[in-house]
Amino acid sequence: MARPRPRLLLAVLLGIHLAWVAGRVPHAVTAKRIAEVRAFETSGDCAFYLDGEHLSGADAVAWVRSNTTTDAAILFDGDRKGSMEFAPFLLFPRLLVDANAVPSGATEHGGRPIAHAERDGRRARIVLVGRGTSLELELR
Amino acid sequence: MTRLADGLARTVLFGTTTFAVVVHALLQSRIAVPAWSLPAAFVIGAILAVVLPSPIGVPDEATPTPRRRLVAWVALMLLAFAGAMLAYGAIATPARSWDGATSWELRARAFAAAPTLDQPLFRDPAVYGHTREYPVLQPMLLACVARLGAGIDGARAVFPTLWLTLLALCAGTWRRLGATLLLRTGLLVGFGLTPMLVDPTMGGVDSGFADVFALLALTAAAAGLVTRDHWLTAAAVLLCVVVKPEGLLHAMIVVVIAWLAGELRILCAALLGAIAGALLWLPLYLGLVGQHVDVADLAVRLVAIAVPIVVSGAWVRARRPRYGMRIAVLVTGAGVALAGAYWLTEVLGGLGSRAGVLGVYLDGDMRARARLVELPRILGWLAAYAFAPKYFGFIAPLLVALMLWGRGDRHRGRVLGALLLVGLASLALPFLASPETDLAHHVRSSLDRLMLHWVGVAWLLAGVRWSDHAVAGTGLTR
Repeated sequence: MARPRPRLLLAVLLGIHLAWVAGRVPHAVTAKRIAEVRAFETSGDCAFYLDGEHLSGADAVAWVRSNTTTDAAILFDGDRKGSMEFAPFLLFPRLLVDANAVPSGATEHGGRPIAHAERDGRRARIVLVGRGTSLELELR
Repeated sequence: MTRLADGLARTVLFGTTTFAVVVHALLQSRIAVPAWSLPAAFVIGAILAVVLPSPIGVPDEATPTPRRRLVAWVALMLLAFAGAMLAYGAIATPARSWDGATSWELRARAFAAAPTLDQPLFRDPAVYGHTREYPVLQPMLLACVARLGAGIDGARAVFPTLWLTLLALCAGTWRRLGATLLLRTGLLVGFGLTPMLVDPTMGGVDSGFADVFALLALTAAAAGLVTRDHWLTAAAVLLCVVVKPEGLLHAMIVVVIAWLAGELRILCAALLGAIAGALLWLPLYLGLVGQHVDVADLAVRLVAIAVPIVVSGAWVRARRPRYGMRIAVLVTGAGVALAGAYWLTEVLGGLGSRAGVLGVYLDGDMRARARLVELPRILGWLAAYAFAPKYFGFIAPLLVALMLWGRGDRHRGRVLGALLLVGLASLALPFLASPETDLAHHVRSSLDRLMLHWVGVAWLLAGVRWSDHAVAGTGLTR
């Protein structure tokens, strides 16, 4: 039986590893990263995070962003997990405030105005509602 | 060049540790963190790097042959290109991965706007603050860089800097342990381009997660252990605790390995780092989950737990019992430690109340017992991920080969090997105790990131075993 040749085996194993990781640089490290950055720049942050295979709700967040002031308190309700997890990040510096923790007649929370909108001539509070993998807007 | 890189890595590590102490002390005192505290901490870090040198200096090296120098330069160019891609990925857009955006970068932006915990995102229970109780060091580090003029986009350059620090630290450690230029070059490229590190994926350098920071802290702790550098060990263990919630477990594992190794000074350093980290982070954590802890009471209990560990460590140091005996004593002591842990959670009312990320997992003791039947499946996943080239390349088979054919002084190999094995085995714990009902989904979404924390230890071990191997006369490095 031939003697094991550890020196050669170790060198081969390290060589395989180096070839593997270096060979991945053009595609996995470079091309995929550039494609991801371009996808972000093309679609915008809301769609990048929330218009994928698993999550939706980008339109709701984008609407809130374009129709409320940056110091607003945005009420939220429903599931906190899923799409809703991205809402505080995408809406910052606005803050998401639990709709159930705010009295129904309140117009501000912690010194911040609660975001309102008009529908059918009636002014109501904007509530972002988490539905697991999606988000909806309600006026309450 | 290795000496310069090593000095810079130690400066960053000591500077970051100083910054962590300042940040936590100020936040506990409800004082906003001034941006200038970051450069001030790094000046102190540079001074500490000079006045607290490693016990093993970076040795001089014979002038390499032109061929070897060329190989080293080609490798450096490859790493520089990868580093440029990581910097581009980090700076071009906000964090593109889930928790990187929803937790880590959100809090960095909040701190950049107001560097204090006294703001609604952290204090108002009605405000949706995703994982608001998570450690604050990384977000505050980014916030201070942003406030110093880089803006939040430029502040994300912190991530490739952590990657560079990691490589510089390993280069210095391998050099101290006898690896030649050629071997260091191979190890650096092999480690630096680990798929999980450089791919644009969750946990990668530019993902915005804190996993690279945790990897740096653990690798530095391992480097401290293996070079008997007690100051580096203390600083790194402190960083482990304040970087990620699982860092408390990392710190405990380093303490256990230092105890097993019979390195009393290192054991004391690791305990010092762990206690200081716990005293800095736990009061903040508990405050963020609506609990209060008496810091003095916590300190007394932590020191009371540390005393028997140090005394028994002194016994191991003096008597040098066989490893079997050490493990037997350790297992017996684990029972006492468990009692100590319950005593500790009693004072940490917030952990007992199961609030926050730690509470959720500590509440899992019943789940863990019920899920023990899943342990073989979890260990199977661990092995499968370790050997899957798409995550970690071929480091696992390389390590197996190195452990089989290693020669010479095995002490360092044993220390790092034990650290790696215990660390990897500990990764079963979060899956046993997790509230997540879909175990397979939980594994798919986080096991690779959790394993990433230990990759630096694996590559340090590879360097040590290879160098030891050469010392035995195979001629690989001498």
